[in-house]
Amino acid sequence: MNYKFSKYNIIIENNQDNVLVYNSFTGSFCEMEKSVYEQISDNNEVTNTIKYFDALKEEGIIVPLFLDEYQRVVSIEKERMYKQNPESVYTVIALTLACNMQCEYCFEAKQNSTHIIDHAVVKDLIIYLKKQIEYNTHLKTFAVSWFGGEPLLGYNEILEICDEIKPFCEERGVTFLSSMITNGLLLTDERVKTMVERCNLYRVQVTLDGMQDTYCNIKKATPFAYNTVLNNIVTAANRLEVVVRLNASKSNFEELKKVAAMLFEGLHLKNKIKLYIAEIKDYTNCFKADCHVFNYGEFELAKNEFYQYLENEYHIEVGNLIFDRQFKDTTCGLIRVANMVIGPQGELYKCEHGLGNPNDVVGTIQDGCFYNDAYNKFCGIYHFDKCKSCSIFPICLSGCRSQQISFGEKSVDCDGITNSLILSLKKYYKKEVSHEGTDQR
Amino acid sequence: MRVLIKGKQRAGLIGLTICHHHELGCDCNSGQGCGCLGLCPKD
Repeated sequence: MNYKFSKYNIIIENNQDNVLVYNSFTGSFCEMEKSVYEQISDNNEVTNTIKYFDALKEEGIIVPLFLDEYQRVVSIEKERMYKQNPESVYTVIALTLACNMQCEYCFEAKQNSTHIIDHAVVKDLIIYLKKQIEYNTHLKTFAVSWFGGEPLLGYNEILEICDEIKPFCEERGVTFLSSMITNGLLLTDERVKTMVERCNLYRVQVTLDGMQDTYCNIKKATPFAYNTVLNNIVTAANRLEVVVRLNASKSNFEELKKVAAMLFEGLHLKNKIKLYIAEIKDYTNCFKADCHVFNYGEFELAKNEFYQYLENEYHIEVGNLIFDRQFKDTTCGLIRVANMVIGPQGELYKCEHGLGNPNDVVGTIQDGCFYNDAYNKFCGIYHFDKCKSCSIFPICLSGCRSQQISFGEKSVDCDGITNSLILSLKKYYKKEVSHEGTDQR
Repeated sequence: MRVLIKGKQRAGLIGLTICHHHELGCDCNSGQGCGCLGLCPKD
């Protein structure tokens, strides 16, 4: 069998003698002599007489001549997407779409709901969750993400559900975990302590949009609320993993550096919280025209700038893109058939962005999945034509399916992702070479 | 040739899980309000 240079190799010219090669399918990152690189990349066929043949093959730098690399990725994607009886099930549960804040960019802004899940639906939900645990006989981990609206508006219901599901999992040798996306206003220390114990809550994500004035303006919140959220972040960080998400647009981007300074220096949260920056997108035309979203290609640059700022100022390496962006079989966990989003009426969705939209309902907890158009819109293989020849396809997989539907090909900043990756790889190389701690073949 | 980061080995089509958290589906950090946090807890 002869071999060929993998189409998923990304080449970085290093110096006149060596090149760096990263393979986006295996995640391997190698340094090799230019002469070797020229031999394997120029030839259509690579034989086992080539120098470092075994290593090149093991790292996926060269692949069998007749391998269709694109179809291999797609086959793995399908296998993971449609896997029955998986080892892990992940469920997002929104017990309410009501919220105690009004973020101007919220994709649920138009819901205007005050409803919190009925007691009868809670009972049905518990039955549904138990069925998922029991029927997936290979299950090792059952994870719930509490979502909303604001999930803590359904705090008592969260406890009621976990008081049933946690022991049910334990009796079956299944690990039960929960995490939460919250605005943090109701995230008191007492609640965190209780949820860690009764819900196996291991992580919370809280969003900050800026310093006090910006935050209050965007969220229609008061200074008291802002300071309460900050205080709750500080106390929660003593009990579990806290991730602070900074929602970024062109309007607030520069201010987010001040937020980082406030968190790390003012509140002494360096090494106690994780921080990342996320792009605000106009999903539903729900926010003001003066919230300037990033244009195509701008956010990746802004993100790199922000993370470089954190590294320079605080020596914090945030969001290492080499490890963030790896081939993870599917672009999102929710498109895997076993994973679902559940709304406050017991309706099922395949994406949080569908919450509250009847056209996105794919089933109910009482009657199961409908396998309708809304379901097939997510559970299928949808890749752009340009992706078939793209060297970063395994780590991108055409991006978020929801964004594909909303924004088409512009949903993925291909050049931006590639450039960010190359930047991270160069930094990694520089660090490794200076530490001289690599596996030499 | 130096291997700076070892590639992940996959058993044919089975696709070995990279880590526990990715098995749960946490992935990209695109899209506000979604459950994907963009950071692997192992990082």
